[in-house]
Amino acid sequence: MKIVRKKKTISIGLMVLTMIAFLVGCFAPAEAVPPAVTEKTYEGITLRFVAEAVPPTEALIKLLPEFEKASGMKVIVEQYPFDHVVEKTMMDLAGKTRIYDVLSTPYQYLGQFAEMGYIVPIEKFMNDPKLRDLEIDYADYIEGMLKASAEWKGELYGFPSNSCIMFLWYRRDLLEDPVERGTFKENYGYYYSIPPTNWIEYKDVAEFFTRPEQELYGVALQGKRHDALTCEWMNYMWSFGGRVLDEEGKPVINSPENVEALEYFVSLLPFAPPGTTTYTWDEVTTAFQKGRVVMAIQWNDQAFGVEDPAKSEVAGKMNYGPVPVKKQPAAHFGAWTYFIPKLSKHPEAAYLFIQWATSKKVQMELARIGMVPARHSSYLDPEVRKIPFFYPATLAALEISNYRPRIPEWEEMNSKMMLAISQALAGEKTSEETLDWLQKEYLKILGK
Amino acid sequence: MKERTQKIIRLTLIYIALSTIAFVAIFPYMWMVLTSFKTRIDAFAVPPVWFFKPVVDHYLEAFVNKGFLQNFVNSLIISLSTTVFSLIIGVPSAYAFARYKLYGDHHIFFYILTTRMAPPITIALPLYLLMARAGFLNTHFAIIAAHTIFNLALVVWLMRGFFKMIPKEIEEAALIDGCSTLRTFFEISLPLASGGLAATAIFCIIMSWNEFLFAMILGGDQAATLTVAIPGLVTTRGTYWGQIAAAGTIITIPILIFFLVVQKHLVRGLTFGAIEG
Amino acid sequence: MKKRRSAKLFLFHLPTMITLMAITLVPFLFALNLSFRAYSLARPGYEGQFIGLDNFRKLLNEDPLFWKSILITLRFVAVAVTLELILGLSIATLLNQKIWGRRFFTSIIIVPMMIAPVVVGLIWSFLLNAEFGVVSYAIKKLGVHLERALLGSVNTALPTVMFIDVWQWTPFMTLILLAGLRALPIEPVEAAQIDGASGLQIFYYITLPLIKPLIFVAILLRSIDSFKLFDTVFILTGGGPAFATELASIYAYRINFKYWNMGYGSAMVLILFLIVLIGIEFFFFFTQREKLHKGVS
Repeated sequence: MKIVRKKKTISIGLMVLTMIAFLVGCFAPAEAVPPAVTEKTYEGITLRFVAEAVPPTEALIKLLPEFEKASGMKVIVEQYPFDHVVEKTMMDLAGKTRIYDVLSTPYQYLGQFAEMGYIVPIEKFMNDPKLRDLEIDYADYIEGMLKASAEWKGELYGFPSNSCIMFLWYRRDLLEDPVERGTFKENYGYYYSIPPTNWIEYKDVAEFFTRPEQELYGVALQGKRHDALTCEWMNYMWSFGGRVLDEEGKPVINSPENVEALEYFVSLLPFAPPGTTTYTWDEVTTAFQKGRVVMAIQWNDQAFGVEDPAKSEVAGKMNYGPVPVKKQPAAHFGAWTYFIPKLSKHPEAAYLFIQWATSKKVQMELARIGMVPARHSSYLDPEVRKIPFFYPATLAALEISNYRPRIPEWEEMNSKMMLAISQALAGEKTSEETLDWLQKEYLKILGK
Repeated sequence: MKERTQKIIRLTLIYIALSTIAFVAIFPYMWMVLTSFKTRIDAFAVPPVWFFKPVVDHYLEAFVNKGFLQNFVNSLIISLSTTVFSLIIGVPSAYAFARYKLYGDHHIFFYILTTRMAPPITIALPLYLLMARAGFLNTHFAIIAAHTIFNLALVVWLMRGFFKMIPKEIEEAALIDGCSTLRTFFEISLPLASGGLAATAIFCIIMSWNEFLFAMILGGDQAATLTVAIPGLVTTRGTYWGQIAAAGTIITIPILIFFLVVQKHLVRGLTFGAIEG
Repeated sequence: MKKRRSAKLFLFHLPTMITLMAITLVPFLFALNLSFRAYSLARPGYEGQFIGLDNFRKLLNEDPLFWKSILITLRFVAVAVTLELILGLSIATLLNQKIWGRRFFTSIIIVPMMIAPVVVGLIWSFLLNAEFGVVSYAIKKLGVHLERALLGSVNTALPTVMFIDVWQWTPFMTLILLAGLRALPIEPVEAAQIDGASGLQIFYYITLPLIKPLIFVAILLRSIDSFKLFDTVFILTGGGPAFATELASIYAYRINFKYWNMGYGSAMVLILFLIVLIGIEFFFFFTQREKLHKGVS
């Protein structure tokens, strides 16, 4: 009798303990690591991760020790500037040298990587009970973002890593100033919205505020022959109702909508500072910091620089809104995605890592230092809500999330687009001529 | 009297000309050094500021937080090793070219020169694959090997000229006296060409220290040089001009020191190699 | 005696030969092989199948941008090297004068050459920045109004890039020529001075011919190097605005590492190499003629 009672006590005790452990495991501030994984599981394994050398990567590195402790693996992060990350990644994948176990790559490479068989879909890892983080909550990911950055032909290949989006920056103080508004009404016959909601208003306001003798200009364009140029222009393109490829994947770059969008873009040139054809996002931010410019289509993560009183003369005077609309709203989504190479030496460990990096906790931490989180929950965080440009404008833009073609040929197409637009800006060709040329090039690239 | 005034005018003109040229030459570098000590606001101030409160934040950020010190050490290891290897391999060959005409050695000489002419991109991908297969990626050795290739042409070309300057009689005297070819080389020819060796060494170090493409492609986190680390400061988040200035300042200093120390030899080196070519 | 020496000396060549063969011949053959194939890391279907001379044919007939980039590069090399030569010679002459402080001036004047090309690109981007660049500010203060920033206008971008190259590499020319001037024998100059020749006459009839071999070599060296120029320009302009500063090296880089079209890219790089080779051959041809002339006179 005594023995049976003892056994029963023990069993009940064990059950309670297990339940507590389970509950604790569920609700304790988890390291976003599944209970099956302990510090012994991946001991001795080294994961090599290649990423861009930017603050979010730095922040991720700071948070790494927790993850390493919880899983036993060591993570080595190689950081490079934008161009060179892609080079090194490509060389590794193409040369099959199996150096990197997990990647962070601009999302436009998704198509190329998937088609060439360089990366693996992560479905199987997501459903693996050993690897699945109990708190992962897949529904919490912002759908637009997830699709744009990681979904290809119905399969999911990773999670968004380093995201940002474009919207409208404007000098609230100048646009709201009653004197300015009054003078504008006198000259143009109407009151502009704050901020301008369509392109006609946008140009009128730009013209109105262009006062070179005061070193003030209406807009700033990212006019250097650089990625920044195509990134910015595509906002106009989408807004005017144009696109790069049609539903069947055929290029339609010289459609009337696109020509109109490019003509409009070029027509803004007189209202931008003289240096605008050497500007990328960095210089646009500096132009705002020095109070030289009133409006621009710019990336959200750059806003930290302009809101920092130590660096910016216009801190606190800015506000952010949606890109003006002609036919539809637009917001260019820029992001990097975590991918797992097919030849990765430790694919499961890699999955664990990217799951951790996009977990609620980590995303919240990263949001606080300015990275755009991929999760709805991060936006609800009180700290994050305090960042003015972050919460409303970013979220609104993310819901739109226009993304560039992610087909293998995109890098070449992007590069040629840079040349085409640059030539239009330089006045070497008309918008129609340059887009006709681009269309011919695209047909050649995609036709072969 | 007139001659003296003429002389003074002439001197003044020369000094003005030289000062202007020196100013144009050094100004960008000086501005970079100044910028490395300015806060971001000062660095971007318009009109530009000459007097400001210096800060060392950028240096700390770059060299301590970002680990540029490690990159600096890597650069040092790679440059010195490259120079040593290039000299060891190339000098004997240069001597052979100088002293004896082998049938067909014009072709070999020209081939060596072409290795320097080739755009580095030609070799980039294949070399990467070679190193990857051999397992040498992300090691100092890979970069040293790549740099040595490009330096060999320089070494052979320059040192050949130097050896040719040495009068044959001295060597022949030694040979007649019973010295072996090898001994003659080591005890007579080499010491006489020491000025040239120094000059060649300087060029090798400079080329390797400032090289970018191969250091980036073949390196990784273990063998990243300073030259590769600097573009990392131009990010999609913003360009860290202060840190770039700090890193740029530091990266130039060792080279400047090397040069100042060996200035005399360097000038000689360029001539003699060149004339014979 | 000579035969014994020759055998031993051949051994001296061995390390160099082995190293070079191993590390350059193999990649070269690799590139050659690729150039005959349709190989792209970005486009499916370009798996490396053999296509004979198709890449070369396309390059010669269907790629006007390539030839445009060659023209830009040749223009760049011609102007930059000429300027560097003229300036280098002038500065070298100045530094050759027996004046107090010439060592000091020499040390300062050669600084630009010591700076890493990547850093040079970044420094000048900073200085020429339209918003806060010191040089842009100075230009404005001098009353020159620029409609577009120097690096942002198709008319001024290439000259600006040329200027920066001249700034960086004139010291190289200066040093070579200075060494030459210093090594010149004094007698001919003194004799001419006694005969009453003016400074200019001495320079033109005596000095110049004596350092001609050096000048040729300096031109050769600089031309080869500036033809390969990449880092600095890429950072400064990325090849833009429009096509204004797209040097051949940048275009080749784009094809290989942005489009990942490596079959085509290998063909392109080989053609570039060939162009340099032909240029050198021509050059050597002229210098040989010079030597012949000197031999006769």
